[in-house]
Amino acid sequence: MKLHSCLAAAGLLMAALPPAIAADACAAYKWDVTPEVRLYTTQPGSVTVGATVADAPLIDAARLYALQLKPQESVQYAAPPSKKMLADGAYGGVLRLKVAAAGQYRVAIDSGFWLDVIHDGKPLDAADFNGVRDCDGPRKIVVYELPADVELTLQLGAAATAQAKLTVTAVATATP
Amino acid sequence: MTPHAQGDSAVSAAAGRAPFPERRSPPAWRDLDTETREAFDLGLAIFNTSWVIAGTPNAQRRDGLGPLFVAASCDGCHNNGARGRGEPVGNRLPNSFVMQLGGPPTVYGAVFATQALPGHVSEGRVELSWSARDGRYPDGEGWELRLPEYRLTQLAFGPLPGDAVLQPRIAPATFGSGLLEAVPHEAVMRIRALQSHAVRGELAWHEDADGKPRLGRFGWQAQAISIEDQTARALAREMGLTSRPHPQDDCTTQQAACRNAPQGGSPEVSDEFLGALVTLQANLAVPARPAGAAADSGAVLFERTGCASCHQSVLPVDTGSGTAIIDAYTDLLLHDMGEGLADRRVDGSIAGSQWRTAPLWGMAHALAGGDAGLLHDGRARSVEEAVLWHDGQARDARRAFERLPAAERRQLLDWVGSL
Ligand code: HEC
Ligand code: HEC
Repeated sequence: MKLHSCLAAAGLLMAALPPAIAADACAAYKWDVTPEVRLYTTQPGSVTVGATVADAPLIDAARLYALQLKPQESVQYAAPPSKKMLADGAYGGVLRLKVAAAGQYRVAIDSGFWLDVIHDGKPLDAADFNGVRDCDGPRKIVVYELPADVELTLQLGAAATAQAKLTVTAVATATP
Repeated sequence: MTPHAQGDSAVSAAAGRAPFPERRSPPAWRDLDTETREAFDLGLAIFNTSWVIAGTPNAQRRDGLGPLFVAASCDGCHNNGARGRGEPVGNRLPNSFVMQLGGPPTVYGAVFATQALPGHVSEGRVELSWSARDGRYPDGEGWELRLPEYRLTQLAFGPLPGDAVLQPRIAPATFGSGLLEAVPHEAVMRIRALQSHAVRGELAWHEDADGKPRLGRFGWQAQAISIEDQTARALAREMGLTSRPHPQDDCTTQQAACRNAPQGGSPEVSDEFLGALVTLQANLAVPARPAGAAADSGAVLFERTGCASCHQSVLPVDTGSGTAIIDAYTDLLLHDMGEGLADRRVDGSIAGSQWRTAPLWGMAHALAGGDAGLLHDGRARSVEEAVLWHDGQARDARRAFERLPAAERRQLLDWVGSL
């Protein structure tokens, strides 16, 4: 009985949680993620990921995308995922990305999956990463140093769901 | 087979070390036959895999997470096998942080689960704040340490009793676990016998499943007797996954929703998978010291200030095909490290202050990524801070360190940072 009322109370609490509190959770990121949080409230562009680089759509920075992923066993990556993982029942896919200015970019996703940015056939090392599970919007962010004007491949894998939201944003450089 | 006597000068290269050119593919410390290599690779894939909710279509081998948990993969806390990073600034909890609960059993179980699957409620939140402690070396140079304080909030199952022990822990590295497991307990007893009364450690005896005494080796207080024991605990408590040694996850009898949640198999982690995880860890090498590592004058100071009486540079291991020597810089014994490092009860009183001498091998690799989080809760932002927290049985060594001229202190710290 005691447990029952406890759970019911907690259920109420969750239902009553105003969006402001959920957004507050995003403040737990080690950087200011206001740009991502804001993008996550915009209308997403719908995109179906490619199963190969050849059929991968090109995406832009500073936009929210709603991705339709593919069963991972049907995906042929440009380079093997840089981290070995079981792919049982997993979803994945390939995107292409090109940025106009070189520098640090944050790739933000709303659910757990593995990300690789491939340049010249090799995965780039992530410059940093951070995750905040209760953030309503971007739940995991990986930072990469991206070169300008070259086509990069964004490889997604090990996702538990067939849908995901994603943004790529330039890290604001401090102005003197 | 050439058994080496302890301290044998012919033993120059310690076993177990290997270069880590690619962090995401940590190497093995010995040559593996094909079968073992396959298990090692499978183990690495499992280690890295995020588990998913029971019943996820086609995810049979990796489903069963939670419903209460702290992280969804081993890798989420031990990134690429390494220790957790600290949080040098601010009040964020490190990613690989776990609040264990000791003392008389409570409704919350052994680990305070800060995450829950949809439809379940996490046990609550851990809030961290810091207070500063400062002081000076005898030569006048100042230092500042930070002392963590934890508060558990949003408690889903009611308040914790005052005698519950808060056990904040950060994930240590998994590297070299197989070698630590292969140190004969007789060797540990021999080291203990040679330690002076003031620093003599205690053997962490625990019972195995058959009730036989076995030496605890893993965890900050050496509670786990084997890699399998540590792995099955982590699966059950940190991830909510059952396995043969732990057929129940960390749901207590009062947590009905947790107990009644759908299972991802029985057990959720097969023996094949558990075995592969163990094979991985039994063979993971320890990162080699960087080339051109700090001068050995640091080693002399380490010896002279008394660090080496606990952080032993030479341990014998039984490799199965002979005896080798490792430079793990631990004695696998428990030492009283004083009140400053002790766990506290909810009512603020001091609980355990005994810790396993932390192995210092792989320190260079651990520090390379920045954001050092040393000691059992990740409070120390540098080797220097870790040393300044040493008290209790390590007080004399700390004082000897403090009395060194500044340049020698630096040499000693640099050397420890190069291990
Ligand atoms: C939520 C974070 C978390 C997860 C997930 C996790 N660990 Fe740990 N791990 C820890 C912490 C914290 C400790 C220290 C425990 C202690 O002191 O009692 C630890 C200790 C260990 C150790 C002992 C190392 C030593 O030398 O003391 C090993 C080995 C280990 N974990 C392996 C694993 C494996 C394998 C998995 C996946 C099945 C895993 N861990 C999952 C946080 C985690
Ligand atoms: C009496 C035994 C003892 C002596 C002497 C001792 N240590 Fe330690 N050391 C420990 C224990 C136990 C821990 C783990 C404490 C904890 O995590 O709370 C530790 C932890 C450390 C750590 C942090 C390691 C990590 O993985 O986080 C460093 C660095 C260290 N010691 C260096 C030294 C140096 C340098 C000296 C000599 C000035 C020294 N120790 C002397 C027992 C000792």
